[in-house]
Amino acid sequence: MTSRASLAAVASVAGVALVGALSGCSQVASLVPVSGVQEATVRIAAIDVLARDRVGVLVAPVCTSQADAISCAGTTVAKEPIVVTSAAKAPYAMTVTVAGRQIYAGTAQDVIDAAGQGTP
Amino acid sequence: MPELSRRQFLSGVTALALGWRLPVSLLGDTAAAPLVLGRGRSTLDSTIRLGPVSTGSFRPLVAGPGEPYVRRFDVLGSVPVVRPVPASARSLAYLGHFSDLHVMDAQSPARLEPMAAMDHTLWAGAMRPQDALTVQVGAAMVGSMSAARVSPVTGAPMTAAFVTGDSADMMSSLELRWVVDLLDGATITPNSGAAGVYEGVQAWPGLTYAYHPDDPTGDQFGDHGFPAVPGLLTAAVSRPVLSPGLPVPWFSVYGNHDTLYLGTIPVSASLRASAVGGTKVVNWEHLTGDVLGGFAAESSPLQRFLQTWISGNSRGSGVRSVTPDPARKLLEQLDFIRMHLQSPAVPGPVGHGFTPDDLESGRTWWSTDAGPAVRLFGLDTCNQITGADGAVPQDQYDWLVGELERCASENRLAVVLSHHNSETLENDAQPALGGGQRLVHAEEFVAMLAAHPVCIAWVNGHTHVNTVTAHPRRGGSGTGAGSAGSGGFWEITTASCIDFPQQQQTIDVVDNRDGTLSIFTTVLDHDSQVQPSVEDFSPQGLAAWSRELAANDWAATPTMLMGSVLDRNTELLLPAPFDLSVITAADLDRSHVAARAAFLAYDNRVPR
Repeated sequence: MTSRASLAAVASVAGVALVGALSGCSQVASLVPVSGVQEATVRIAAIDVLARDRVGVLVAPVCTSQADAISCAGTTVAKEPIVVTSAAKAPYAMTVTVAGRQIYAGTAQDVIDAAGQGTP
Repeated sequence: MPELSRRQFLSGVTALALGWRLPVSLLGDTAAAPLVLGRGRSTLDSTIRLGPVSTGSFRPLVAGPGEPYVRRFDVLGSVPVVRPVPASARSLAYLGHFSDLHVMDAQSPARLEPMAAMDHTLWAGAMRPQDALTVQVGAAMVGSMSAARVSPVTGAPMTAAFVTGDSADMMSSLELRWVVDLLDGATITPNSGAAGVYEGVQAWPGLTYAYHPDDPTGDQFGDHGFPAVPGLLTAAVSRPVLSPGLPVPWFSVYGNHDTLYLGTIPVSASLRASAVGGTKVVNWEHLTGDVLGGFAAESSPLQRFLQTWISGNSRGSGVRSVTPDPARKLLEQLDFIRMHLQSPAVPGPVGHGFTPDDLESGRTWWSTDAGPAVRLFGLDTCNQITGADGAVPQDQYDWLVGELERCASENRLAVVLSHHNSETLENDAQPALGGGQRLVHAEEFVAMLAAHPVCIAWVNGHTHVNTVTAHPRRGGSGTGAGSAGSGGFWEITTASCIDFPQQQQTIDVVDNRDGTLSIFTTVLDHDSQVQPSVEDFSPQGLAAWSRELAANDWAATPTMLMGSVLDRNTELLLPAPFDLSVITAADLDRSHVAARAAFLAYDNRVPR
């Protein structure tokens, strides 16, 4: 490998490393709107589903991430369990069950988009 | 529960009238009359949503139905049998909450808009289509908050407001001056550099990463369907904006954007020079070459990026000249306090929580009473080393524990204010040379607050999402995710003024007189029309444009930031931590009469 080739290789690696570092560091996260929290997206969508179906909520779903999945647990006013499972990546394929009965299967993003839209 | 006697009422009115330089009879009549309910642009009455697509993917805004309060029982742990709010309920404190104003000098050469050229979704915070309109939004939001000075729940007068950080976007002196003036009430022309001329990436052709309101043809926003709004930028920087100011004392805490550059990195000497200089890099390729060339030069990737970007300001293509302006000087850490001390006595208080002593001690946190029942604690959770997220330093943690114990002994309810919330309190950055103190993170901090029943709420911002989170006390029935509590506190996080939905909120702490408290959160839109017009470039008209542009900025996931129906207009129940009858009607009456005097003075004053 010539010195010129070595330099080019180093520059290439440095470029990749830089992009990786920029993309992965928390500093980048501060420049991106602080909105992309996956758990928040799934939680909001799940609550909107519960509201749409008029499910009385005693404890709103609390969401946690595990690897590629997000799960949320809550309780209805009738003390029945609310269970939400979702993929951890957009558009967040999600199911919502209440007392073992599935009330939604679709994406969280669809729910959120619908909640944000009105009629003229 | 004793009420204010006639003699006490008259003597109180006389003292207040003298203090505010108001006629005693006028204040007496006003204080004795019922308060007139004015809701501002309350979402109880109507909401703002995205309508059908007009062009491309662009959706103009439309009015939606109002949203009633939704009751939440997570902390109480059970559903009360008798509801709604009993007639005997009374307000213990009615408060205004601002956060994440992100007031911005969009023409600053120190801004990093070219980063959006790489990936607008990844770097959306570097360039938003509504960047030039933040002062107009701030004034419209202050107007809405001012109009909401009477609680829609209890009819109580607002007694204080607070800002939970990220007031200025880029640590600019000019930006922070505008923030203080907006909240105090003043006329602001939100311009820097050349008078009456917008000099920046949104006016320069060929920069496809930026939205060009005069003609968006060919830029990525134009491709998305964003409209042409000729004259918007010129109007934004040339037309004075009159902010009515707040009718109540307001308080402020640090945010990460008030502490670090871009809310993330320390300010370097070269960055300070760039901010007040006369050149600006406008293209990503230029930056990329410089970054790669200087890759090994500095400590962190972003620091390297900035250093090379700044060094590129004086040479090569992709550089534009701008009018230099010393007013764009970047802040030192204590300048945030200094600027809050440069503020009039009305609405006050001078310092807005900070004191001249804080400049000597370096103390960046405070407490104050908001009436006879509620004490506010303003924390500084920002990390001065690096990183957008925060933590609670040990000294503040210890101080707060002591203060909460004091609240318990004095029968005060505690409301804790900070910029960061429980999802963003994990920053561990310490000085490289040591000397830092232990940083307390979310789990420990939440457990500590929950262990003090007098702490009823933690109010914050940072994530730009309307969010209400229950924190039931551990050890009772509420010990895990999804389980109900028998006590604890509520965490209340508001949306921002920069990203859609551009909302803030009011908070009414209500004694239900049945052993429970209710905290009512009410979301406010800013006081501008739902649908903007190319014929209306008044400050309110420009604020309306800002909201509609923000609603269509796909990189910001705007509809998610609205939060859910359980995060907006809510009644948050929790057990009263002590016998609330010790807070007398006379004490509350005095507080309300003082607030009425402040309102009267506000209505009669002439903004600067």
